[in-house]
Amino acid sequence: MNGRSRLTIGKYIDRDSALHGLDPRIKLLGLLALMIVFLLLRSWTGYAASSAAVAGILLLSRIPLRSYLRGLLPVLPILIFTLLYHLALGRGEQVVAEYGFVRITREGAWEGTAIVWRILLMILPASALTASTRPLTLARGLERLLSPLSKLRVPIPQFSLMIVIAIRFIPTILGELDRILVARRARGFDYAGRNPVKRLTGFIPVLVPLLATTVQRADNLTLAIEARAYGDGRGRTVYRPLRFGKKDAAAAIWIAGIAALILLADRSGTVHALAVFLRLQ
Amino acid sequence: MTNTGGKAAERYELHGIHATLEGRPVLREIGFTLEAGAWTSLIGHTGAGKSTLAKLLKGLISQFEGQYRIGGRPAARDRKGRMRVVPEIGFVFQYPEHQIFETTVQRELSFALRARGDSARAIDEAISRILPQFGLDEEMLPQSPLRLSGGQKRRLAIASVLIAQPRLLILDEPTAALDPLSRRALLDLLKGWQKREGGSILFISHNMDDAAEYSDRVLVLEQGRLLGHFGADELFLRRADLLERAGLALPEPIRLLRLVEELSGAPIPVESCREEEIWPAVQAVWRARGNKDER
Repeated sequence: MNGRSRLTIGKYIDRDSALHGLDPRIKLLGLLALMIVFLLLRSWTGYAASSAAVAGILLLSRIPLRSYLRGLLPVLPILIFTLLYHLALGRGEQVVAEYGFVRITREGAWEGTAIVWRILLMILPASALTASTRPLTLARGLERLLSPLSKLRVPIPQFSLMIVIAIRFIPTILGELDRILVARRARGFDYAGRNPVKRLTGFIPVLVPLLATTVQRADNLTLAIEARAYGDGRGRTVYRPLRFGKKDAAAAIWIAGIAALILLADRSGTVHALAVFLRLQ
Repeated sequence: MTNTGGKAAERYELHGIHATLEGRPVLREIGFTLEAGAWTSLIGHTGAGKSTLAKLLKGLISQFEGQYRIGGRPAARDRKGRMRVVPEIGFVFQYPEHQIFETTVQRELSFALRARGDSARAIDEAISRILPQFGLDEEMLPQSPLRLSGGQKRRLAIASVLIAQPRLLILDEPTAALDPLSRRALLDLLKGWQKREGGSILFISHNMDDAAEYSDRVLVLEQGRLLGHFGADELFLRRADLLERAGLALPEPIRLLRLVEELSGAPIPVESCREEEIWPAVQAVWRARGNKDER
């Protein structure tokens, strides 16, 4: 029983790729830009262009497709439910089939597919971001991006430290959970032989000691942080500051270009977008 | 606690065991038999594979090669071929107080008994028998175990395992971070349980003083391999070379014994590695030497 091995969403995978080498701020802003573009999509040509862009990002990360697919498993039920919901209860006039209250329409089918496709378009680049960026680097990137807010007295450094500590303690807390589960198994609590409801209710008592030890740990950590003079008024420096290089600037231009091309493909057709792309080359 | 009676201790046999953890071999060609009713210590350097071996015996590791037999029969596996947890083995993990998970002391103590379906009356009886043995009292029963002191928590965790009357008790460094007096008290308590119940103990430690003082047999593990299975006296008095190979030190009384032998220039005849037998022999030689000097 190893809780750590099951966590596949948002896991960093070490590779030597162009995506891994980018500044986290560019990756975060790029993801945000693409997400906005994906929300604006209206036609299938836009979806096709976006899919090509996402495929390109995944290839750039040099992470096996298998890892991305494994990351999709937890959201699979949501995707299936969304698709079925729109298929069965979709609006529209062009009825393809009808069984009792279930009415499958052409519009419903398109809408369901488009929404599921859009969710996939958003999840996959987000997975590429977390898989290609160490959690702490990501947190630091987020801190730098949000730093202008500190002028408005938003406590950004504290917020950032909070995120860093939360990330740092995920494996520790999972280890703690693992220990409690093994201790229960060793004293005769059988998971395999029980029905799902009993398994779920049997899991609830585990949360009590887990919470108690986590709170205790947090108390100790607070003391340890204060003992090291945290919060004496001066800002904290970092050992490896983020550097915005030439390749980051190039990546920013690329992302902006791709976002514009996707929107062009979406509004005036792929052929038009390709023509613009080739002329730019 | 009542005597286990018909539930006599059993033999646990391992043959040609290989096990890997995240692709890294942790146990190689392990083979031994745990003798019934004995205190066996499993010693080795940090990372030697002691805890993995103990978990394997308890049935908490299902992926391994080799044979594991309990009382002459292969250890039970489920339909998918995975090891089943061995119910007659009690397991006390490192830092036992960290494995307390119930909301009250009463529920913590009764967890294993409830899991196997004992009656409420039998559970109450078992609890009132075990409480005084571990220096806990009835007033604590409705309290949250998290409010007990460190020492009380540790005793509660061990009592929660022993209440199910295991035939073999595995202890994974149960005395870590205890002061010398508490350590001695806990080990005496476990020795008392072993004598009273006729159970077996597998004691994992890298404290050689404890291993020499309490063990009948000793297993020495080094980087996943078994260096040998010895009587405690033989290992500590005659196989210091093996201890050194495993990165372990001699127990304190034996180091003193060797020092006095070196100073007096003659071997001191000692047959046991227990402190109580070594001290008189060392004292006798030292006194004789002192008298000679005075003359």
